[in-house]
Amino acid sequence: MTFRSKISGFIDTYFEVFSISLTLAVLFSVVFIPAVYVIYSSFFKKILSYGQTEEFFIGLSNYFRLFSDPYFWKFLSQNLIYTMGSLVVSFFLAFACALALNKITSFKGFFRGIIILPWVFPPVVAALLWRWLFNDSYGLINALLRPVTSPVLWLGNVKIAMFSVIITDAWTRIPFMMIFLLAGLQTIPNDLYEAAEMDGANIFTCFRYITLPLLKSTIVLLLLITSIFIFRTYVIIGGLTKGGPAQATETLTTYIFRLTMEYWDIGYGSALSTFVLIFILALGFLYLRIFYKGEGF
Amino acid sequence: MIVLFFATITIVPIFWVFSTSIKPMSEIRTWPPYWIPKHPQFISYVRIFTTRPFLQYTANSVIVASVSTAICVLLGLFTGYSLSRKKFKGKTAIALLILATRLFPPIALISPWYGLASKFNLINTHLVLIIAYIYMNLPFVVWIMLGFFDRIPREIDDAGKIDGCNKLSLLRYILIPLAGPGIATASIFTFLLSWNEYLLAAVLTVSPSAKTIPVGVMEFISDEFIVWNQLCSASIMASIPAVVFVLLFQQYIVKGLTAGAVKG
Repeated sequence: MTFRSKISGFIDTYFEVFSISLTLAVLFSVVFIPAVYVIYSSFFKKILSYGQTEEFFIGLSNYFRLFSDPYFWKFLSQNLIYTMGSLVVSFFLAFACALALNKITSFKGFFRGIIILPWVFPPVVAALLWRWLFNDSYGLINALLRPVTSPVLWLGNVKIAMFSVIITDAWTRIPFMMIFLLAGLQTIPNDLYEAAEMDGANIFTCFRYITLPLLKSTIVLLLLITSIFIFRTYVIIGGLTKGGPAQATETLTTYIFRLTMEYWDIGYGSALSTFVLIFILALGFLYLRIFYKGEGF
Repeated sequence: MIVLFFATITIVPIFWVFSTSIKPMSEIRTWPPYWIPKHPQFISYVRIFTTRPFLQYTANSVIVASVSTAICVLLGLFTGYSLSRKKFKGKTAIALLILATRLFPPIALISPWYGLASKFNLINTHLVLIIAYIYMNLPFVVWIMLGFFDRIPREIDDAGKIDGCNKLSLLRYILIPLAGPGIATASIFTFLLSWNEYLLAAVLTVSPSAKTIPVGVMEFISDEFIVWNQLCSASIMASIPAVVFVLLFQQYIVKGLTAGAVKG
């Protein structure tokens, strides 16, 4: 056996093991180690003094503090409102759009291309773009509403700011949901609709008894994964309001950012991070279970 | 009709940003605003390069996004191939574990990442962002490639082996050409998501030598007086890759969106 063929034999034998292990090693070191570290830090009080960090083990104190922190509950409920609001708005709009796009025959690719633009745009740009549209003194939205109402403080009014944030977020979610639903719609065979029409079904009964039942698993999967994505988003709120006015749009993600990157309260911030981590992973676990069943491994 | 409505709510905001980017400051502060500037000018596009380090930001974004895409696609390709071809116990579990890492919320991990990066003196380097973006996109790339390789019949592998191919040459000459569309999808996605990412870049960089474009765009907001026409020019600049990709590779983007369902 020559040296060359020995090497090639070696590569052949260990190629799979090597590449899978490398991927796992990379993901392990950037995800699992930091995740464990964040849980570990949540049991400490960390004080930054003269560039040195001093740590004191304080057990579960950070968690007691967290659950008795009124801000935590306020921001958690705001986070849920934000997630559900954006989910509902973007889902219904995306569904309507997918149904319509599924019907048209000409310029389909052209329109689909335009409609997916908000998804490929940098989220920072999406946030700042809407910040400019919502601008109270020179923004386009107030200009368009001029005949109807006097200028509205879209981002400055405590009661309206969350609504504006939800609209912005939904704008960025529609393309993904639309494409996902469109792919689902295209798997439904046309004969089903033709047969139903023969039996005298109209558009609405077709939708109710054919489209919805056949898309059920797609919809469940889509709603779960999208709610995970919305819940953990920072940049939309970060770019629009930074949590203001008067913390009306503050969520757990902006609170984590403030605690760890602005107040350097690492221990407490880690306890909050751990909470978000567990919450999201529980949703993620549910998602993977359904996904796993659906793929039919 | 409905489609036209959606096309409008997409296009109008984008048009408005473009229109603002070529307005002089005086026209931005007119009420009611004009749709089309009376005196269009492109000076804001020049200003962001002369008064702010946007040239450096762009270079950083290009370096970080392309290097992380190259590494990510290569490693994802090998891993996807291995998971598709090798039979072993716990394969499904490993595939799902890889997918699960994509569900971790990055916001919950920013403080350990910052801590680890400063421990290894990696804060404000291209390297740390490249690592971060490899993590962000690798699970997705593995899944796309796994899906593509599963659809290529194994008989092709066997035929190649009979002709004397080892695994690397099999990949190089037979499978990679066949999986071309998958590789294109994975590369476009990785590049775009790395280019667009803000949160990690904001946490892990401090000076213009490593900051990327999204961080640069966000900096306008912390100014005392927001220069909207320059902000809009910078936003348009930041969105160029996105628009180019949609124009040229729409098919691949659509395919990727449905293939993985794992984007953040």
